[in-house]
Amino acid sequence: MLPTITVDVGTTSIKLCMFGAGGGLVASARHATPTVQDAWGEIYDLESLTGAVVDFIRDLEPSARASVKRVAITGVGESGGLVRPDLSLASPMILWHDHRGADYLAPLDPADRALIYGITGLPVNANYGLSKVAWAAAQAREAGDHAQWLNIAEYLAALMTGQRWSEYSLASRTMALDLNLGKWSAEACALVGLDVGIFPELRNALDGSAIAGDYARATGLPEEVRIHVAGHDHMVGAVGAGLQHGELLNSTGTTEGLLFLRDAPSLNESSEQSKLANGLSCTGADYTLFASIPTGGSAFATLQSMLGMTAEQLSACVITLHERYVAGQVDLSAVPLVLPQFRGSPPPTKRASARGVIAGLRTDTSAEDLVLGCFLGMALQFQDVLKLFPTQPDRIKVIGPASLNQLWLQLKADLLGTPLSVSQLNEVVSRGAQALASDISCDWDTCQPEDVLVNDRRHARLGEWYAEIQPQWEYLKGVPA
Amino acid sequence: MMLVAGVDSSTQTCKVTVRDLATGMRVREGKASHPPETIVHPDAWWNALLTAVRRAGGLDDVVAISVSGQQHTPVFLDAAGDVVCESPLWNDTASHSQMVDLNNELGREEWIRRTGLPLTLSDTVTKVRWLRDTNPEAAGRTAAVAVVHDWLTWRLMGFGPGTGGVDQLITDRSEASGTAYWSGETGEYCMDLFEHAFGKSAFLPRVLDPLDKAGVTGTGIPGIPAGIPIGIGSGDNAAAALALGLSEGDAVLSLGTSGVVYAKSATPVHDYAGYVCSYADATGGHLPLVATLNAARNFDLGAALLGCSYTELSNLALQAAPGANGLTLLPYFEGERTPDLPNARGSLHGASLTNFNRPNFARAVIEGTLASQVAMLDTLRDCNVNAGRLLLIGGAAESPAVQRILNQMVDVPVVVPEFDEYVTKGAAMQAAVALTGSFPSWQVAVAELPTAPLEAQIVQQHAAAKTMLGYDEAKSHQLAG
Repeated sequence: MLPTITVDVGTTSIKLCMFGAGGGLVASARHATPTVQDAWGEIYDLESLTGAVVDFIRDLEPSARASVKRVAITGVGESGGLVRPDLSLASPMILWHDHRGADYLAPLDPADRALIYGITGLPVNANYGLSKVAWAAAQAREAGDHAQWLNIAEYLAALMTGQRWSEYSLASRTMALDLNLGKWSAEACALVGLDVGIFPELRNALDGSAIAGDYARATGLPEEVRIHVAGHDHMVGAVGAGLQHGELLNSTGTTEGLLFLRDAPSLNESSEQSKLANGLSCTGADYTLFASIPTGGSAFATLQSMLGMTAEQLSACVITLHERYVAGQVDLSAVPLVLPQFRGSPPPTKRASARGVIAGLRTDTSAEDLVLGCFLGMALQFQDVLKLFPTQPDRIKVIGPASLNQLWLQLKADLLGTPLSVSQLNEVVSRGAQALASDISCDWDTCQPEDVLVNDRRHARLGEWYAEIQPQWEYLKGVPA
Repeated sequence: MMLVAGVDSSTQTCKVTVRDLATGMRVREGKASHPPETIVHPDAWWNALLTAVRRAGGLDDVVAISVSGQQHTPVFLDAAGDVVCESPLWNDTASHSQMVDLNNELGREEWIRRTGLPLTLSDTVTKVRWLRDTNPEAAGRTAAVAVVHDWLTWRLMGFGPGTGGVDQLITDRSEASGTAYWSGETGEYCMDLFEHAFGKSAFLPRVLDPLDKAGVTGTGIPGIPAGIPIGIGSGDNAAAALALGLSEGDAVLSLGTSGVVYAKSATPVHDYAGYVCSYADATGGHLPLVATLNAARNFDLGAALLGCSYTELSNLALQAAPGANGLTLLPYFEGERTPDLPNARGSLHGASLTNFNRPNFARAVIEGTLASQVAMLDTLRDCNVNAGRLLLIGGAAESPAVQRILNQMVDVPVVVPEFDEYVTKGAAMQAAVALTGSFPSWQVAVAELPTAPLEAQIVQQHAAAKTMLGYDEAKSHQLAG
């Protein structure tokens, strides 16, 4: 591997790391993802974000900084903004879950939507970049002349290199990329009144660019450093986890992702109706089939806030619940049924307006019951989404903060009846970014995985419980927002 | 100073208050707990009464006494005066199937037409059928059926196990009106309805008029002098209405274990929509009433889940905006009577990452509880029983959040009577009647809450959540069986 600085712009935090030649972590920092409000909602606070990156680099030990060969940038898909040739902004830098462009998709009829799925492999949704680009272009008018759409990771790379380009896995989240041709689709762009020229040239994650002299001088980085856009964070995580065909990557961040590698896109009616998202891998060698569950690890913070617990108290509660659960001391019939759609629903509905429901509350329901119900609901939601995929996994690899939550993992394994292989290393995504920038593949064993095995008795009990609550679960999923 | 005693044998406790006959001022009082179960041996209520009398310092200086108590709950007696079996309380939900049967057999409208009661699982007649169905042997030995206050009054008269004299049982119009075998129009029992439910006849307490006297106390009752007049007593709500000096145009919202809304009316009502129970009051008028099973105890759950006190729950709720940012609670934690959902449980709706926090949850608990109560005011209005003023009483009435939020949910002035034990006060007024032959003129001080703008979305959210879960349809289906 090459000594690399990685930048991972997540939903709730920016992870900054430096890895040495042996892959060891030299330095790291984490900041809350800085945002500000504009008239339409929340947008990136770019001054704070770029400042945090520069500060991290400057604060490295001089010898470590001098050893850096690569900077690899990854982050959430679907975010972005219009950037002029001089790298000034012609629009706000919009967050991935922002729906300010939704009106541009409203006129699309079923035929248009089917056409878009056939071209881009994505179900029409305002999360994806296309409607945001249309909104931004309309807002910018002539001030947006020659501006191009860059994802937040691509924008950071542009600031470091002076060049604008788009990486394939991120491009495949814009709903403007022709998946089969690997080119921007003029047809998809035309459906929202855009010219395809608003999107920049495409590059593989393996293809970096030289650092700009000004940026090198400002940060103290060597001038031979090359800057890579590693790609969409879930896809970069697949690289870090050495994901193979037939395996499922379950990445657990603020949201929860389910990702398969494939030889070809899955564009059939079933996948379209299930709103599964096709894409390209960071290397461009594989196709990906992906589904995102909007409420993932964010549920932990939500519970913590609601129940008035510190992170340590909630962690202790989770540990206690895990101990009780594996000891068979949990009465599932007393646990409330939690539909954890705190941030909208996952496929196959993908309704941003969906909201969470907690049913089965009794006068003796305790805070612990709520916590257990929440993680059980998340395991149910995962099971539902996994069933949407055309193939079921040979192995499930879990990365992200869930590796610390034995309750969530065990509930998931027992409910599915499938063991999990769980990375014990943090920042698998950042390691994937380093690997891409180094043009080296990763081995799952380096993530020091541990197995979470299925207990037959608990699996059977959860199966009985699921049979009992399934009608109510399906009903709650179907109620209008 | 001449003293009279009022007894409130409620669901949870027995309270005895000794008052100045001239002013109604409390002089002293005593309390004793009732068992928490919903099927209880009546001896527990008699023993609690004696304990409460003892804790009140005895009644040797008292010149008259009267008992009010929980409505509906039957006491089954054999010919010797012995209790036949344990009694199912009004809030025991095991009699749901009997309610369905009785509605099916005679028709829901027939019960309303004959008795003014949309039959619920709480009514005495469903408990009578429950005994016939579940314990035919006990039903066979039953010679008389009284309600709790009837039986306690009879015990005060010196009757009890082995004494016989069940033909000396008396009651009042309010208690008889809760049996569902008494007519508000005729003022007579509907013996055919009783016999239909029970499968045979039994002695029913003689219904006395408001200014009658039940008798005098027997000898040998610890703490209670022999030979003092006993008032006819009443159901708990009728006693409170009497003490509050309720006039036509007034409605009362009582937030205790259950939630109750009632108003004074000159005539009985027949609510074929199935919500309003046409009870009689303690003055010769009528007291149409709607009740929920879940009310102030909802706040126990809210405080427990948030790990806070009642005061903190109130403070938190006042930090949130009306509507709790869309977070909506249906508080049917133990099933519900209005609407008729005995198997329902509580549910929380509209939870998102942004609104699922402590202030909103606290507010949702209080709004959900009050929305159930406000819905009952609407049903009274549908029966042409209009409230021009709302009196807020009960254990939760002192909560600042309850007062503020209720004020935002109704379009009539809300007044909070000064704290008192209104049920014991009403009973004491009936004791005074037994002594003097007329009702005393005891004053009630009230504080009118400052007006607040109506926040219609609170009620709208609650109604939408009910619709979402299909609870609107559930009522008519379940009543029909």
